[in-house]
Amino acid sequence: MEENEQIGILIYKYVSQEISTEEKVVLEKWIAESEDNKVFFEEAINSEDILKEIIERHKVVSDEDMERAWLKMTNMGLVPGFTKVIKQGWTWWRYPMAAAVLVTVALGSYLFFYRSKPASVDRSLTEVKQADISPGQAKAVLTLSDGRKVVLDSASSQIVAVQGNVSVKNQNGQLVYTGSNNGAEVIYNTLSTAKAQTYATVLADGSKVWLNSASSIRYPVAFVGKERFVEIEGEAYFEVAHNKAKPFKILVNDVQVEVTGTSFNIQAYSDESMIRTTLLEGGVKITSIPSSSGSEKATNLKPGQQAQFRSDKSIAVIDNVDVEQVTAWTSGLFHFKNNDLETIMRQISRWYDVEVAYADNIPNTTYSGKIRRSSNLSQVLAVLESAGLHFKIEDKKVIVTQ
Amino acid sequence: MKDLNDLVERFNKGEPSAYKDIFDHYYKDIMYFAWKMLGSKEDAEDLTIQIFSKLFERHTDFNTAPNIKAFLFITIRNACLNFLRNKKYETEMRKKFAEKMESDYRLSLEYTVKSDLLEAVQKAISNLPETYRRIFRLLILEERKPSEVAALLDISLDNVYQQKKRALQMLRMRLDDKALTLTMFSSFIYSFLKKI
Repeated sequence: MEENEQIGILIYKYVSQEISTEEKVVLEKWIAESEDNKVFFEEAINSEDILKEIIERHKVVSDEDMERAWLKMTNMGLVPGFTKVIKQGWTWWRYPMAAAVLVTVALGSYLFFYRSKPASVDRSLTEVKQADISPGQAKAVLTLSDGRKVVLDSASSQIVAVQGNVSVKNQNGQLVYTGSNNGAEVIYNTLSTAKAQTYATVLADGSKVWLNSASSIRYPVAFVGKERFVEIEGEAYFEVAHNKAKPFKILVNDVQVEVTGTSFNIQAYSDESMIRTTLLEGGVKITSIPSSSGSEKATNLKPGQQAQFRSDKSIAVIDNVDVEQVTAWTSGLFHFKNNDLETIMRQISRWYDVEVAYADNIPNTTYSGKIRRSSNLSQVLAVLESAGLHFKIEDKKVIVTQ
Repeated sequence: MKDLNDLVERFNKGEPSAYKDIFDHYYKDIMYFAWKMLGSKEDAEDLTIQIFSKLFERHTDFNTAPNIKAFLFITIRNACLNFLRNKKYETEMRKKFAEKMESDYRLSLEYTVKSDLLEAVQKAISNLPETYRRIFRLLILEERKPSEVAALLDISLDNVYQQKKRALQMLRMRLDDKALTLTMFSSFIYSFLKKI
């Protein structure tokens, strides 16, 4: 096994042209040892072959295939500690699609049970020295047009409401709107997350919105009328469905973002100094709504640009923004890049629902790095501690010391 | 990697959630390998499930990830060869592959060197934002024609090429990021990206 690892390393070095003359001799000797070795070497360095394998593997085994195989295994009793439970006396749901819903709920909770606990959470349960703080979860509150509130989480998979001819289904951490209310009046729903929560929704036109913590979006249940108009607070990532006939407009504080294309991120937290709109794909036009006198200011963004609206109403456009960093939260990561401590702690405060206090003067250093958002607070702080900071957790308060 | 070691530890201890996590980590590799030998998805899936069942039963025997991987590949290889003894090879290609895999040494190169490479590339792709992941999946993994992708996403053909360019740029940027543990393979992946 070790020899294989050695050879593997040499092959990589060869391909990246970082191989030393001595190492090359070792590698050539290995290649000459057998026809097998020669063939393997030629295959390994042929990146076209690797690409073909990736493509082929993608076609042969999908995520659905894998889930299906897992269910097969559990049904056949092949997974230790997993007994098939047949509950008696199901509670019947009040919605018309009872039978279909029942099946999805059962499957949903199956998957939920086995996927819900990331490694980091399990670890904290066994090493209980100090109470640790769990990361945010897929949870939100949906406010319907009549004011009724529905608590959403990723555990259940069911239709939560019917608004006109539109069905509202909660499915694996996503709220999905299907249907249309042609000709009717526009009715609005609001999806909101508190600190330590995140959720996603698919609107009736197919646009997808991801909500970060302490954020909300107010949107029409169905897009009747000439425009698609939504309002947001906090931070959201959008993938807007194309419809040239119906422009998509977002109002955030007193800034309006008009979308002519696909994907972008808007961050507008009240404790941040500016509203940041970052464009990944397509085009957006940003207009700041004037307060009283003063003219409208409009900016068009190209992919890779970020518009920054400050409190003094000035707009700055930054080029070549690291869009991956900006949208890292949608991939379950904290991505810090030359960020000061306060910016970092604000993000942590929102995701872990903690207060932050500074015992000493805040150091002038900036920090970079990536941390999984599924980590517990102590794990995140441990990473920051390795950069020279010190923390104390008291209940739901984090104190930063030197 | 730290997370994988944690997972192996939990699996060794028999923590309930570890079984699915182990399954998720290795299933596709093993299933794909079995398919390369047998040529039939159904048969490959059946054998793979049996092999995982064996692995689960012996969970206390495994302390490291390389041990688990070696066990999985060796036992699936043996199960496939056994299976093939009673059946004809699906194609000449399958026969050639099966014969190659009879060599323990050749097998081990397959699941160490080659497998690590595939994993590194896959990981780099899976960490892209959804928009770029999607264009990568449609154009490269599903090998759709650019015109097809344009129609599917309701965007212009030019836009498709632009998105592809940006997705590759982002992949390269990620590989440049020294904070990632992918740097070992980054130069290889760079040359691999040139072929796309």
